[in-house]
Amino acid sequence: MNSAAFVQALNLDFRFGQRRILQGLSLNLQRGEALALFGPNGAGKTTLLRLLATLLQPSRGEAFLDGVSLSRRSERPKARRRIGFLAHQSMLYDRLTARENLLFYARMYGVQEPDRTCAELFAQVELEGREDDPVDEYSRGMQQRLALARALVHDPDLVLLDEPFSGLDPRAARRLGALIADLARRGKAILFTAHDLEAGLSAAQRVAILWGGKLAYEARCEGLTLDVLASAYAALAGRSA
Amino acid sequence: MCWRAPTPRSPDEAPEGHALRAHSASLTICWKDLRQELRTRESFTAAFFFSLLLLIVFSFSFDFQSLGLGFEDVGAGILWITLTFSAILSLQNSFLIEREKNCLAGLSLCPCDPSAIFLGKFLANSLFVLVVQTLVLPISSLLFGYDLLRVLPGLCLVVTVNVVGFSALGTLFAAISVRTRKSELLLPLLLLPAATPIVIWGVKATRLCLAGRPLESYGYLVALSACFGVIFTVAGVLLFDFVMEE
Amino acid sequence: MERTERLLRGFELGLFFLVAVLMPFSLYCVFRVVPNEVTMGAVQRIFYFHVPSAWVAFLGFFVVFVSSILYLATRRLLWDVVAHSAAELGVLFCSIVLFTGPIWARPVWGTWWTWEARLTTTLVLEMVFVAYLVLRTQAENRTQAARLSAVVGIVGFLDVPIIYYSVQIWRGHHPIVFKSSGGQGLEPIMLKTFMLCMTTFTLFFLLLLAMRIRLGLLRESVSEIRQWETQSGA
Repeated sequence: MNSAAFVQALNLDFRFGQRRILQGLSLNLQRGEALALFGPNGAGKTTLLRLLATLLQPSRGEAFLDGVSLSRRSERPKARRRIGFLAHQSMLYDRLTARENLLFYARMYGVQEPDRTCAELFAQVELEGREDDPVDEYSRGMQQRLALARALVHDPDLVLLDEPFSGLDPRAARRLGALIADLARRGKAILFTAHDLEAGLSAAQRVAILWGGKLAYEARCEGLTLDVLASAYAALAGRSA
Repeated sequence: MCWRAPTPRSPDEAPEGHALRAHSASLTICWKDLRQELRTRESFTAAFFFSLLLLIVFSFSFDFQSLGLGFEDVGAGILWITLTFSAILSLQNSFLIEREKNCLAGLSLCPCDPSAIFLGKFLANSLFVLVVQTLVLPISSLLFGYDLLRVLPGLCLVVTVNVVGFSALGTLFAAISVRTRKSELLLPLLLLPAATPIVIWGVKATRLCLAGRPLESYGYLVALSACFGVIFTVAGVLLFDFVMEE
Repeated sequence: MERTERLLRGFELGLFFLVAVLMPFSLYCVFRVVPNEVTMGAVQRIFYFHVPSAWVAFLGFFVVFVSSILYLATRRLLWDVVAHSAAELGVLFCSIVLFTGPIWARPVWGTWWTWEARLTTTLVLEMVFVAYLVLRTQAENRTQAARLSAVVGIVGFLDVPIIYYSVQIWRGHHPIVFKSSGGQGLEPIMLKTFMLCMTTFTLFFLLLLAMRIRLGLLRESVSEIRQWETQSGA
């Protein structure tokens, strides 16, 4: 176990009611590293992201961000300041405009110069000119881009993205891949889940497959081909069939 | 088009930042709720027309003029039942808008104390109910023919203090019930018995006020309602963290 | 959990024997030993059941309060089972109070129900804890049920004295119910029987609580086994 890892999860157990979703899951993530997490539906990918986002508490085990435990109640506000989470649902207020939404979150996160930051973010997610439209007039793609802006408004050190590639056209997927690469270059730790092996492989530095409640496969992307990854995935699927 | 890097933070900015001070977060949330409500007016409209409907139903149910009773005899009860049920509508709506698109999780992710979320919501809820009442009370005065201006100062005090107390407990219970199935059923079921003291003291004080009695005769009831408000605001602040967990 | 179960079994056994002796003896005292009350007659005897039930209901809600706090502090499911059991028993004994009250009121006051202070308070309290029980059934999952109902349990109990006080202000006094042969206050034999009934009911409550907790813990074990089977079988 790398003691200098920026994000560390140690033997995480998570039970939903009586069902064990995660069993003894351990994970490391460094700054400047993007990890793509694959796995079947119901494997616990979203649960893991929500655990790291401090929305859930593990039944056993602990997670650390930069050495600080995410389970300690008193530390959570500080930790949340450094975590950005893009979930399945956009967490946007439909009846407010995009600008109002982003400014709200900017203020809640204590962002200095919220107006300037929001203006920059609008430019980056290519929603310039539509800031004053109410969110319920946005298309699904636009809402996703705005939700991404929301997750990044406070310049978090740990970025958690839940299936960010789902429903994106190839151009948008390329843009997202470029964003993830840029975030990694700037020293962020990124963990994202995906179903599309190819998209995940091209955007990340490491890949892992979540199966049976723990990381059943881990590899660096350098030199890893899509075929090798696909067959590893198939092997796991075959084993549990 | 390639992704442009956003402006990086200045290197001397502390990476931990600071957890947003509670009162800033509360006011931001309250302001956000007010903004939403001003834009759509849906909570206000629903609560206002529901109140109006109740007043009409009451005037059919209690034809007190033909019974030789004055409004003071039944008025307090009418006003408070109307207020209670329309307040429950407002409280429910306040959290239903958070449940959409999982904005509750969005709030949980913010680096503020969960009690700040409670206070912000509590403040907004109290304001909404009071705004509805500023319209409903004059209309009730027209419908039932009592002199509102004569009792206005006392009535304002009684209504404000009791609404704030009701909202304190109501905000906590609304946050609890919104996470369950059948949340519309559960909120009145939880809130009405628990808010009995507010209803009792509010009605009693209002009755004395409408009858033209001086403030000294019902001041202690207002003080009791204020205590209720304080107790359950504190309870909400302490317990909201547990309600916001998933 | 196993040690807890064995402990509970031990309590149950001990309490069972105590209650098995005391309950018939109490009934005997209430119906045979104690003299008729001078103004109300035989029906006054119902108070030997009515008041202890009220006390036990209150005790039950206090247990809900304490175990709700313990649950939120420790997150041990045991405390949630205790809270749930105590709430059910509290509601049960509240119902007994609300049932015996009118039985007494009808011959004495000529009406089944009056909105007098203590009965009204009991009614409102029962509604608070019925809402607690409904909340548990409507929660999305087991943990949420435990957590949200713990908050309601704490707030509900804090509300108990406030509700009591507010209803007192709203209504008049509670009738004096223990007078015999024109004397002042309680006759010694009545007082002794009353204290005996209080003790018996308290022990009876504790017995039911122990049994209900053990049942609750068994239910948790069964759920766990079922889930484990589903997971490993899938």
